[in-house]
Amino acid sequence: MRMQLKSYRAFVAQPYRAIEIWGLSAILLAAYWLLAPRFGTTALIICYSVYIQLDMTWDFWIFGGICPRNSAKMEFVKSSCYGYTGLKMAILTDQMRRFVMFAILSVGLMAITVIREDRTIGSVELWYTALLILAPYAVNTLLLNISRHIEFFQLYILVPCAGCGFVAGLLAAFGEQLSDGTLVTVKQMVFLVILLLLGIIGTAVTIWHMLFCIKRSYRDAV
Amino acid sequence: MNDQYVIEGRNLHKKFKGFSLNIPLLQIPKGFATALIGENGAGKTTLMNMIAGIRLDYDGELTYFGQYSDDDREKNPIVKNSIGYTGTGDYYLPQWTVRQVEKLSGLLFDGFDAESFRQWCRDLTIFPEGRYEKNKKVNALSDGNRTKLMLAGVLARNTKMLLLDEPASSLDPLMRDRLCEMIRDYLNEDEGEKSVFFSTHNISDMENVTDYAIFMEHGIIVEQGFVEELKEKYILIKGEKADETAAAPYMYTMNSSHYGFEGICLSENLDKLAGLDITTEVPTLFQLSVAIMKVNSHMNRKQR
Repeated sequence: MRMQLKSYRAFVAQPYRAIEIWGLSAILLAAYWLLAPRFGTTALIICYSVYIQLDMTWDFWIFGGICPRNSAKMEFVKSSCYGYTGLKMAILTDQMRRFVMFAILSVGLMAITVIREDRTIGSVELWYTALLILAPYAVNTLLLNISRHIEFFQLYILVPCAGCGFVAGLLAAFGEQLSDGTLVTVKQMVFLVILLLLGIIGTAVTIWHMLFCIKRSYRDAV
Repeated sequence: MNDQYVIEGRNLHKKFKGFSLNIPLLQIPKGFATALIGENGAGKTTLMNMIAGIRLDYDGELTYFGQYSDDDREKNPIVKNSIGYTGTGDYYLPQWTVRQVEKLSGLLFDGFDAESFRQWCRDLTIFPEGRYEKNKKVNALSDGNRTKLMLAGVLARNTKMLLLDEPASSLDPLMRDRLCEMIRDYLNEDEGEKSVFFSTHNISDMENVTDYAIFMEHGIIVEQGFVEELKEKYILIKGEKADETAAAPYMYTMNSSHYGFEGICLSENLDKLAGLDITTEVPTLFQLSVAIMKVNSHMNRKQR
């Protein structure tokens, strides 16, 4: 774990960590706290969608461009015996960080909803919290397989736009139910399980894909 | 264990994208500065990448420091830790800062000295007024300053060999001179145990630091040797216009003008030019390079 954190801290500069982990999170929670009384669930969907967009866009400045076939940008890392391992640890830690951040923020947003709207925590609140964690995590993770191939920022940001839009739509589809506090159906529970599986499989596939691209860069295209 | 050579390669072969590299025997002498000279597309970077372990898709064997194989290079950190490699183009991720380069160097290489790295950055004047701007992004540096940053990174480590791919190409003349001085100082450390292997397509800038030269064209080694021996093997001939036709069959390369001709001749053919009105000179490594590349290049083959 110590080596993983050391690698992550080396590959992800301190300002980026500070903004990504603390800055964006603080802005999101503060914005929702202020907007929730007036706009309710709509504020939650908009604030969270903007966060997802920014989180994915931020990834460009950390791991952007590591996947293209003929990218020479990893030569420094590959000239070290520890390069592949160090990068692997950084990528793994970033995935863990992503899940933990979504979990903490989702709990924070739902806590603000409960406090602001003077609600009791029922099944729909718990279900919606799980949706807030799993939906963006699964979508973001899968989209990394596309975005980390893109080397131009102007093209890169189209990918999180698509992801953020999809997640916003998904959250909006169940937003009214959250507002009304209606019961969660069995189909919705199954949907959550599917998202969980997608997240787990997506994580495994994404990490495998990233490491495959790095290993592939040790060979020239024939 | 043959410790006469810092790197030995046998039956090196690589093929891709219409290019083929074939080197039956590569020997880089220990304790000297060896230049790998060739025109664009000769295969210099391909060979450097194979030696540095940045490309693994090749056949053949490499031996490092007389004892480590290319398998050892991937598994035993001592090999890559002992080699300071600098590349061309995008060596670092452009969004990295200088501070990140320092941190990553410490993570990836044993024996990296952060204080020495900062001092080298100041000495090489990467930043104005000898400062150390740790938050400066790599992509905000000019090509020359990026090269200096790479050099600072490798010189701040405890290495036995520098592997420099076109280190002079983006440097200004003053810095090129400084680079030659740095290479000399590096070789003088550790009583002949350190070596430098660099590639270049313009040897005139690095001539005064080159001890051994390997010439490469179309993926093969066409000539190699210690510079002093090469300068005895080849002679620069200058002669009168009237003697041009008589001299032509024995010349390795020849340029003619209104006034006469000039070219490189093999020493063994010098006696065949007896009786002609010629002068002989020791060629520079630049003149040798041009001659060898001319004889072996595609352009020359097409003209024939």
